[in-house]
Amino acid sequence: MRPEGSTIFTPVLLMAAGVAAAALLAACASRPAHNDQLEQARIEVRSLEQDPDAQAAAAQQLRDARADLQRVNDAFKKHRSTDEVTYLAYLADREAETGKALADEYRAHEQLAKANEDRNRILLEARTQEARRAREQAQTAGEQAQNAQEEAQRQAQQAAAAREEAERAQSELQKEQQELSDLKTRQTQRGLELTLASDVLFNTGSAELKPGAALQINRLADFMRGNPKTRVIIEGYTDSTGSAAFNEQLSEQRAQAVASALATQGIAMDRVQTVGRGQGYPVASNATPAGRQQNRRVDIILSDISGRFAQGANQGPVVR
Amino acid sequence: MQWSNATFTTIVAAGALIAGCSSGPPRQTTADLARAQTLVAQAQSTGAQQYAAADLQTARDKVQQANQLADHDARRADRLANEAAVDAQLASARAQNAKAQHALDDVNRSLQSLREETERSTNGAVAPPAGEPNTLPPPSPR
Repeated sequence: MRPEGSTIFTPVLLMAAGVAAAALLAACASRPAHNDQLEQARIEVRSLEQDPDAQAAAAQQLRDARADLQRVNDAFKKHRSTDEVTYLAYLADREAETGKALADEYRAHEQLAKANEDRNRILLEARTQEARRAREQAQTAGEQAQNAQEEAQRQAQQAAAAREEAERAQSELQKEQQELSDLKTRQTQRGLELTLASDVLFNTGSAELKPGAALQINRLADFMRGNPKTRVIIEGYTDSTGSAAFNEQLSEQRAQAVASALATQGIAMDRVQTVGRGQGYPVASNATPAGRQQNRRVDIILSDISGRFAQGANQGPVVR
Repeated sequence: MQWSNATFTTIVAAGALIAGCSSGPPRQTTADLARAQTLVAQAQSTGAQQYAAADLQTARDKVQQANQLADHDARRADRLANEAAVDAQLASARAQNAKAQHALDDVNRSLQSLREETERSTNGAVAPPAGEPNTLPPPSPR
């Protein structure tokens, strides 16, 4: 029974011994314990190496970090104390982080320069635009001013035309007044009245117009042509030489002579009435030749320009 | 022969002097400490107190520890001084970076408001210029 028991026991012992030996071997062959600080240093240094701006911004830090990482790797391989490994790894880690901060700062400054450039460009553009807008506004204002000027000129021309028209009307009025005054009219109860200068009209006892009468009759005709509704009453008068009946007839003939003269000037006869007033309305003494000459006369009574006569136009004059 | 009191005092004093001269941290440690202190001062002057307070504090603490250890553990003191030096350098770099980022933010903000203003006045009531593109490239984020 014994040998049987010992044969069972032996493999168990052998197995236990083998496991123990393997454990011992493994312990001897194993590297030093995993070091967190070293892992972090490797990550940081690699990160700095991959930073595109590391060379430009943090060359010194990159160099130091790599050198320290090399040192810590060597120390790690040579199984130096954990303290030393951790210490060197810390240095490499911090140097790499410093390098990364410097690279970030470098980029910030680059962007800053670019932002300032953008800012200046925008300011310049804004100023340019402002200037252009001001120019456009000035141009618009100029155009408006020109339009206003043209309008003002147009109005001035209209005003000038209106003034000319007014002046023309005024001068026509003046002309009419001048014509009337040339006719030597006077305002009486019978209306506007004029006396054809008798001294030059007829010789004593004659109804034939003397050549000097033509000027006055022409003026009257001109006035009647210019005021086509105007009508006239032509009154003939004589001095007291001769019989009253003869003078009545003679005065009628004298009025007719003036009417005929108007007719030859183209004045329609329906605008002309004639009347002989005889010797009964002297304006001066018949005792002297000068007085008699004044009494030999033709009076013309004018209607207004619409053809209406004043009241009393058909009566004889008031004897003075 | 008996040592006089005076003689004895002199010998003790001399011995103390010699001891004083020969003791203290090795020259390397003293130099590293001085360098670390200089770097801490530099970090402070770049604004690390405001922008990288934690890194600066770490550096300060290590300088203080190194000072305390300098006389009896030169190696640890030396390592602490070197750690303080890289901490202070990191604090400086982070402070400078933070200041640059702030400046960039400021300029980008003013740039943005400038763009908006320009756009307003361009598209405003005052005779907008027809079809004028107001296209400025946005700042590349990189």
